[in-house]
Formats: sequence, structure tokens, C-alpha cells
Amino acid sequence: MTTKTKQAFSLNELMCVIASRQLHNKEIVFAGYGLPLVATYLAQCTHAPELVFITETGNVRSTPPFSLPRAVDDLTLSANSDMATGLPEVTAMLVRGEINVGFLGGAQIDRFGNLNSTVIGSYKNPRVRLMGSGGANDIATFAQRTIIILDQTRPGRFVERVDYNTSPGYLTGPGEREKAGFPENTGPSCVVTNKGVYKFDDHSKEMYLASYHPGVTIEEIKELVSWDLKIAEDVHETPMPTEEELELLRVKIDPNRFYI
Amino acid sequence: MIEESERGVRMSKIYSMEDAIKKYVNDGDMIYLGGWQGSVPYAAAHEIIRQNKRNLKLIAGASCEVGDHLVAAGCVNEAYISWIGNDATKGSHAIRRAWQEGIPQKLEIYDFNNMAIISMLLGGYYNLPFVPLKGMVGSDMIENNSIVRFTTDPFSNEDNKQIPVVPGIQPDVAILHVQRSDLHGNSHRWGVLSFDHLAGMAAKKVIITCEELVSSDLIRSDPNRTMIPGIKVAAVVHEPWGAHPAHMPGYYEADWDYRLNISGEASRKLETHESYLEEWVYGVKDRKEYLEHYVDRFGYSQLEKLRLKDPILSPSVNYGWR
Repeated sequence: MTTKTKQAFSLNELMCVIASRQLHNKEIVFAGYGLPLVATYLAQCTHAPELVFITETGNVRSTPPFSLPRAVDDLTLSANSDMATGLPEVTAMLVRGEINVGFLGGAQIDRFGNLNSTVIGSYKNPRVRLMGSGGANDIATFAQRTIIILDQTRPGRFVERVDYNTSPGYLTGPGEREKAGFPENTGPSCVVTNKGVYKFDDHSKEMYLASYHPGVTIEEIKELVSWDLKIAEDVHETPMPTEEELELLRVKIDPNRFYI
Repeated sequence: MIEESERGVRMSKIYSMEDAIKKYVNDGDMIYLGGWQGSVPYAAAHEIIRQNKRNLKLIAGASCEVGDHLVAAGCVNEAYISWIGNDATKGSHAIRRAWQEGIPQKLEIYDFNNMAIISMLLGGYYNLPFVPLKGMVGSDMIENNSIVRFTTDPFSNEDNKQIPVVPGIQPDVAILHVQRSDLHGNSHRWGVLSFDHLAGMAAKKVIITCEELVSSDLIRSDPNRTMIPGIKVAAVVHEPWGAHPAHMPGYYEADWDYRLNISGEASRKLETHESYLEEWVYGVKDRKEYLEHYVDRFGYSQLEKLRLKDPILSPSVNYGWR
């Protein structure tokens, strides 16, 4: 490992680096574009050269794309891919439990990692209609583990209970996924935001703060969370990106600073 | 199903877009519009809007911006979707207006996951009454969706185990934009296929819109590339730039400036979205006029800029038989 950097870095760079370190070599990852793709690409360039990623629209890739895609269905994702196919084929691998890691996002998340990307307010009388599940429900249900990336700048995103559960996390607590018939030992593994990193307690399945980003206080984070957030005993500042990681991100992966 | 008289493998099925939509898309039809963010039959969708087709039922995994346009124009009253909105702006303003306020028409949305859309089309593909569903359990999608039902799993060791099922669905018409087709509708597609290969085969009939009209010999030189055979196709429309502002693999890239600043930006408000449709859909007669209008506004070089310039060609394969 290279030494810790003294350089300044953006929060998006930090989030990509944290997510990238969650991925292991030889894993199969469901990722499309944006920060999840940058994180996956970074992992392929560093510790996980044999990682394969699959896009929702139907590309299977054991190599990074020639350029960064702007959307999940982007020409650059098909060019030089191992396979270009459709949704039915890649979704099949997902529901069969063959995908190690999936990325998720959403407008709201709750204590047990359930995500809402359908509607704010009640379904019958909503305040805001959002886009819906897409592949998120499939990923949340069937990926062996999920990494959730969220913007936590505004309050109202970390709520006691999501207004609408689009993509189940641990539902209402331990054992509930199994009771609902989900594959065993699946579920969200961590939540990466622009404030900190959260993990889920092995027993209670409740989300807790694992680390806070440089310049962010625990008090500030607690104010953005609407339940009494538990804090890890060993809570610490999020480890910084290395110079190598930053250089890869800036020079090789996203030179036009589209995402970072 | 397409009547034998219309199926003809030797007859030409070439139509103008106007005639194809007039003849094969009816009010109240369930339609599948192909593509995702690329290979999207925008030209066909705009013609549907011009002809003021009503009460269409839209089935799609990702009904991206093209769904936004159809909903904004009041053509759709039911959507069977896993995702609906404007993918460029990441907004769903037109959907909100229709779903929440009934403007310009009340929209009923049935929310599914991707697997459910695949399962319904797979059911339609094999003409099955229903298909067991994977996922959606535990989410709030099931109780808010009257299409999903429960039945006993007859193979489970558990007594009376209830599993969710969805019906097999055969869209009345699937409209698919492809790179090239012959005049019978045998059509080649490459790049990602979205749900198009499944939906096209599940549909009762298919309208193919294509960038290039080619000889049957060319199609038959690479039959594995054929996504839909002509026997499923009712009409073929030769429509270059038919997927603009989406991208078309092998032909042009996505017009992000247009999708963000023109159509996407306009979708945020009712008045601006109406003016967008007025200018780019109602205000032009067909795709040719749409392109002329584009060139008038942004210059020919802007359109030319979208054309792919660095081909990556695949060597051909040997189909020899002796």
C-alpha cells in the first residue's frame, strides 16, 4: 500500500474509494454508472483485477470500459464487453444468487437499511412520485450483499421507517428476510454517504455509524438521522484515499471529472 | 397474431411511419416501446402522439424519456413498469402531473421490479397463464399492485405455501428500433437488447423501425444477429435517426445536450413540456421535418457531431455448411 495522502480530495472521491475497498477480487458485481461504476473500475485497477461487473441493461465485463459511461445504457459499456445481451439474461444471474455485490441508492433509507425510490408520503396520496424500483428491488432481494451509496446532505433521508419500501434491507429486524423467503445471509453490508460510513449490527441488523469523514462531526451526523443512531465503539475518522487511488481516479478513470 | 395474409415472407411490409402507426396501433392497445436509454423508437412514439392515440397501456422495464413524452401528451392511461420518469434529468415531473393530478390524463401505475416485467413477458412469450414471481415480496410493491396474486406452490414440501404470481402478457404491439431490417421485417440488432428480444417475441405483432433498409441476403449472411424474424412483423418503417435523442449502436451517440437542456429541462413544468411537444412533435409532420427543425435550430454540424466516427468492427463468422 502506498502511504496516506496529504492531498486534498473531494467527498465523491472519498466515497468511490471506500466503496471500491468493499469489493473483492473475483467477485461478480452489479454496477451501472455513476459512483458505483467508478468504485468498481477503481477496484479492477487496484486490488481486484479479476472482478467482473454486470450492467442492468445486459453487459458482462471483465475489463473496464474505454471511457466512463454517462448512463447505465451507454455505448461504451457494450464495446469490448465479454457479452452484450439483455435484461432477462443478467436478471437471471441475479435471481439465481450468482451476483456477489449489488449497488443501491434511494431517496430514503431507514434503520434496517430498507430503501425507498417510489414515493414520498403515502402511496395513495403522495407528496412526490419518484421513478420506482427498476432493478433495485431485484438487487436488494437477491444479491449476496449490497452496498448503498447515498447523498446525506439534506435531512429527511435517514428516517425511522421509509414511507414506502421499494428495496428491502433487513425489513423490521433480524430473521425477517429469511421469514419472507429471501436467500440466506443476504442484505445490505454498508452505507456510504458524503458524511460517513455505516454498517449493520450482526445481531440486531440495525444500522450504526462506523466512521465519519474528515471534517464531519458525529453530532452533525446524528442530526441528519431521525432515529437514535448507534455509534460503533471503535468509531473513527474514515481512512483517507491513498495517493495511488487518487491518481488512478483523476488520471485514468475519470480525467474529465464527470463523477468525482 | 399476424394474419397469414399479412405475414408473407416475400411481400414488402414497408410503411411510412404515419401509416404504420395508423394501421397497427389502436386506442386502448397494450404497447411495448423498445430500447432503454439507447435504441429507443422516439420517432414512432412521436407519431403516436401526433395521431392522438388514447388510453394506451404501456409495458416497460425502464420507461425512460419516451414514456415521459407519451404520458405528457395524454396517450397513456396505464403503465406496467419497474421504472418511469425522465432518465436524463432524473426527474419524473410529467409522471407526477399525470399520476398525482390527472394532468393531462389520469395515469394508473402498476409498480413492479424488473423480474416481474420479465416474468409477464416470458409468460406471454410461451403463452402461459401465469408465472411465479421472484422478488417484490417484503416490499410495499405487492400490496399496492392488484396485478400480483398469490397461489399455492404445488411442489413445495410446506403445506399450502403461498407464492406470488403474475399473468403472462402479450402486448398488442411491440415497437422496436433496430439497426437494419429487410423489407419483410427480418431485423438485426446489436448492442444491449434491453427487453426487446423477449417483448418482440411475446407481442402479438411487431412494428420495426430501422436505421437502414437492407437486402435479405445481408440479413441472411448473419442470421444469429436477427433479433426478430419477419413472420412476427406487421410493418417496417425506414427511419434514419429514429432513436434520436437516444443513441443507436453503430450509428450515433446520445444527444445529451438535447436530452438535458431541451427535452429534459422542458419536462419540469407543464407549460414548458407542452411547448416542447408543440415545437418538436406536433409542430413537425414526421421525423424528416424533426431533423430539419433540429438543423435549423442547432446547425447541421451539431447533428453530424453525434454520428459515431471510430468504428470497432467485428470480423464476420463462418456459416459454411460443407
